[in-house]
Amino acid sequence: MSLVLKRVGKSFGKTQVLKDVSIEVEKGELFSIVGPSGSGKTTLLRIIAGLVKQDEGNVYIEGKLVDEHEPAKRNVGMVFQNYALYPNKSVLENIASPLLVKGVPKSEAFQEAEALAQKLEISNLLDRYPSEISGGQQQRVALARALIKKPALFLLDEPLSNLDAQLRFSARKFVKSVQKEFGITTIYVTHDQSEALSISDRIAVMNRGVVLQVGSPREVYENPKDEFVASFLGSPPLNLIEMQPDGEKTKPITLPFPLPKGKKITVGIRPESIVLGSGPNRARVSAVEYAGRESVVYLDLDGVELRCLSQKEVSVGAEVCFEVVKRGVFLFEENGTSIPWPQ
Amino acid sequence: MCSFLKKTEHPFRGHSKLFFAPALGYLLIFALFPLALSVYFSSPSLNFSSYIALFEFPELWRVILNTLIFSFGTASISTLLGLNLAILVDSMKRGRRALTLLGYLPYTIPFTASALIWTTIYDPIYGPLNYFLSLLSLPRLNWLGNPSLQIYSATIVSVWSSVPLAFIICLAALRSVQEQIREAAQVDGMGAWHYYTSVALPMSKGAILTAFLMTLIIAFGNFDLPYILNSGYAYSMATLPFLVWFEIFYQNEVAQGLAAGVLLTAFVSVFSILLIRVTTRGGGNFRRRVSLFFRVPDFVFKALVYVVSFVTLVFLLFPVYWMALIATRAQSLDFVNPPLLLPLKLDLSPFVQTAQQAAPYVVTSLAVSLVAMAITVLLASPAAYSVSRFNTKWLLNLSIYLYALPSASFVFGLYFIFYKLNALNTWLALMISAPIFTVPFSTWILSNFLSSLPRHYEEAASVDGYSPFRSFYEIVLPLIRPGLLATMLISFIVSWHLLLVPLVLSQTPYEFNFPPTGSLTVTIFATYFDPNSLGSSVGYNVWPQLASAGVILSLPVIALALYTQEYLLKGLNFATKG
Repeated sequence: MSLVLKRVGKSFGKTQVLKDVSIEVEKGELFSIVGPSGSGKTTLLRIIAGLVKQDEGNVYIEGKLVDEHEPAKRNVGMVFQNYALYPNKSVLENIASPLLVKGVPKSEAFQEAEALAQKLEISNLLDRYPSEISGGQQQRVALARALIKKPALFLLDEPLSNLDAQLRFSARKFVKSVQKEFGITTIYVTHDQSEALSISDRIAVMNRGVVLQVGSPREVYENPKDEFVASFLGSPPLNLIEMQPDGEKTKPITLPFPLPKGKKITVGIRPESIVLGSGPNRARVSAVEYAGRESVVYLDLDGVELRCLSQKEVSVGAEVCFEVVKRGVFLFEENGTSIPWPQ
Repeated sequence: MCSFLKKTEHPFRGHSKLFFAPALGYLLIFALFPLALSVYFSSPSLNFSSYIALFEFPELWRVILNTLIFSFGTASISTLLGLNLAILVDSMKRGRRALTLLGYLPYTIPFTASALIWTTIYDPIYGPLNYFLSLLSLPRLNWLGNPSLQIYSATIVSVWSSVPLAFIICLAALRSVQEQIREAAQVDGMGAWHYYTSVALPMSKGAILTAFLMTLIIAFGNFDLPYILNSGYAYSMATLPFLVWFEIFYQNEVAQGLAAGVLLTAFVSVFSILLIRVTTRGGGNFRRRVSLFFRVPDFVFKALVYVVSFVTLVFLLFPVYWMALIATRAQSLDFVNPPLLLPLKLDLSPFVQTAQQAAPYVVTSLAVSLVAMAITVLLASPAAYSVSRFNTKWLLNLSIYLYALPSASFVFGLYFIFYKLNALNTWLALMISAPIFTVPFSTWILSNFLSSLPRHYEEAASVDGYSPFRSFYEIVLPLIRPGLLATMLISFIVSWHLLLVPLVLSQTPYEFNFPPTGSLTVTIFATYFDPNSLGSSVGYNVWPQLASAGVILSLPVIALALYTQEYLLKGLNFATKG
């Protein structure tokens, strides 16, 4: 195990920001921590880096207990949200600085920095200053600075959030390829669920200081443990419908399978699980958002709003029939936990 | 990121003149015109005989050398000490506020009070300084009496007054390094030595240079300290501003004094042009090729910072303590050897008595400072708006230049104007004169505040149909309230501290009548307790009264400054604009 967190807890004053967080990350894995802002994910990353000290629990890096270690002693590399490049140092000096601080001779440190810059395709920038290069280039410099000391752990704090949408797409792929090439264990913090799903080997979904679920992106997306995880992942977001507790007749929506009896149930339906065309349900189209490849269609089903996807043209005000397929439909109890379909 | 929007594209650009005209008009009449008068009268017949006389005057070179020792000594030592203290405060996790407060305390004490209190500290027989030296088995010195030592003694007092400003400017710069950069340095394994020498200080070098130039300029033009400390009016302790006053108003050598004033103006002009270049260059230029990668072990570096900071703090705070101590005890406890350093018996009677005597002077100073404060805000805020929005850069440069200009450069011109207007010895003369310093300074500070205010608000206001002035008063001014408060405070402090101007323009104390007659200020009042000063009523040392006057002089400003610390610090943060 490259990283083990055991029952980590942290409060700032009276607000508890992390509760009983336990995570294990394998060597070479790209592990994402995803959650809305205020979920505690960045604090968790800073605890791993040693920038913040936890109140409870332990942090192990490569099997070593590092609770008392300074950030520099933990053998971690970190990329900050705004990259935090030293503005008064050239790109070369920025990349080499962790080695220089360690006391590596200048010529050797610069040689290594140049080699690394070659790999990250920023060799042409070495003489420039951070203020003279673009956001995407700054990000590569920050990656290089974090990688040069060959850390046991690579920590990335929202590294793509300062890039514009187009660049984010390619940068995502670049980060992933660098991570695989170096085979380095990586902890990746983001609030962007699609980023987390696309880039990670495994993800942890956090909310309000608690890790709700850990698993591969597919596992977590297809078998969410509770309502929060299910609705946080996916875009457009999950449809949530409160069902009447009268069992047999499922209102207001007809589902392909019976619901458990005598319980208050919320049904979560992924937009892609609503198939327009034919089926037992009828609804009126209340709005359409054209998005190129497909449109997001808003249905009004007796006052309940549903989001679904359509590749065909649909006009506002039309009456449509649809059916719900079982894959991507989840049942939640009143407290939000996911329950299996009745057999 | 709206830098592509040219400044001239502001919606109200057509009205820019209306915004800066009042301030410009005022400064033309009451700053530049007196300056021109002072230059003109230095040689009205254009034969430059006064300049020839000045340069043949044997003591001139001594005075110039003194001025250079005094100003460069002040600037370099106070910048170093201030920077060191700023590093300590910046690296602390807790107690930053309290230490900041202690560090800038002497800033609130007027030069007049500082000089007076230091005359007692320097006292060769009963002064605490010689006592401390004797404890360390060092020789006792005649600090203010020995001609070869005098200028250095004066420089020490000037350093004491200037460290706080340097400290505040440097601290603001160090604190403006982003948190993420500090953390990156931590993850990279930088210790304190590496962090400061290779990251934080290079990033702050503009601010450090500003601190140096600001303290240099203030010391170069400082009249108050050398005037009060120089009890015998000896050339051995004189600096240029003192020489100007001495020749014009004491020796009656007007032309020669004015020639010295022109020399002073020339020197300060060079420094202020440098200051303008440094402070208006704008951020972003951090280039530095040589990297300093020799190592000082962290504990050595930290120990050094701590020890120097401790000594600095004792140096800064002891005089304040000493002033409070001798203001509140009987005279008989002062003149003992060794000096009593701990409070024994509280005796407030000298203080109360002095406060009663001070009343007419306090009223004048209060009235002048409050009115000057109001004039300053009225004139400076639209002018600053014009600087930050309509690209009237020359006005900012003029403001910085006039701020840097010592009052000795143009005080004769002011005297001449008010003499002609028959307005010497009036409140009005002081109320009109005080903003000469505060309008430029406030224009400078406020334009920094305004530059960091997004212009979307005014764009919205113009789309909504606001007139330029309504938009300014209803939308812009409320948004920079902290800046307005800071400038009001600093205007009050500066006006309250004035010494040379009332010394020249005022003659008698206020008589509690209306319309008011008599306009001597509380600064002048305080100097009367120095037995050697001009117009002094006491024939011997009266430390309790002298210190009481110092306390009366300092107390309103200390109280204000404590109460509004946040605003004051923000206002003095002009070296690191956003």
